[in-house]
Amino acid sequence: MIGGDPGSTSALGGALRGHALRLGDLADELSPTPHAVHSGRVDHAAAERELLVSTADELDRVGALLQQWTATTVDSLARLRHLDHQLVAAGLEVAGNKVVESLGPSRVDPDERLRSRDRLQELLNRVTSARAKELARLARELEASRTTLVRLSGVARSGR
Amino acid sequence: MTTGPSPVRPTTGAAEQRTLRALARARSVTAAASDELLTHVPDLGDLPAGRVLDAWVEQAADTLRALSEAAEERLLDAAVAPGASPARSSREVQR
Repeated sequence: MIGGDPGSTSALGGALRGHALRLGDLADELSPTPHAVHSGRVDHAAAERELLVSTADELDRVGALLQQWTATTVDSLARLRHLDHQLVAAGLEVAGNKVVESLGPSRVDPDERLRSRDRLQELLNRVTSARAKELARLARELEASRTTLVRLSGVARSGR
Repeated sequence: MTTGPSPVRPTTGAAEQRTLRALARARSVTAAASDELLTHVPDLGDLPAGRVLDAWVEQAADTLRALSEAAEERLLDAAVAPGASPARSSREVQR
């Protein structure tokens, strides 16, 4: 029902934010000293610094999104584990995205089982719907960020 | 990464030396970051979104590689023409 590996997205998100921090440090190192600014010297590294800052912004933003996605996934899994206990108690199970009656005889009252099925289906829908929305948002952000990164690669290579 | 031209020349001014050292660091740090990104195998649990993420990671690695190459080029320029400005006016980021 919910796949994926939260550990892998967490690792990538953390790595991206770490790289973003290092790029920010490099941009600082390329900043002119106050003395150079005061004496009106040309800022020789302005273009490289802007490239580093712009790239760092993208890495940090996507890293944060992946960390948020990881948190959503972990939360969804916890909700589903809780849901699973309730399903077993009500003689129900999940097939695809549907709550259905488990095969075989059940000691649960049929009316109660029906009410539980509707209630648990609603809970399942909430979890899967929130996850689908988050996934769609993540995909949109990744596409937009990739366009920005393509442009930055072009700028970086434009001096050849 | 330590290959490439020496970033510091004895005749270069202090400010230029500082810039060249920073460029040398930028060259190696961005190259290493590019390589590191490609070691990740993130799994979103959704094939279409997973493909979008894979494409993003590949692009991010390419951009970091492009930054490394740009720094390398600047260092080569400075090594060929010591004392000349390492600035490259054609490379400007438009936000």
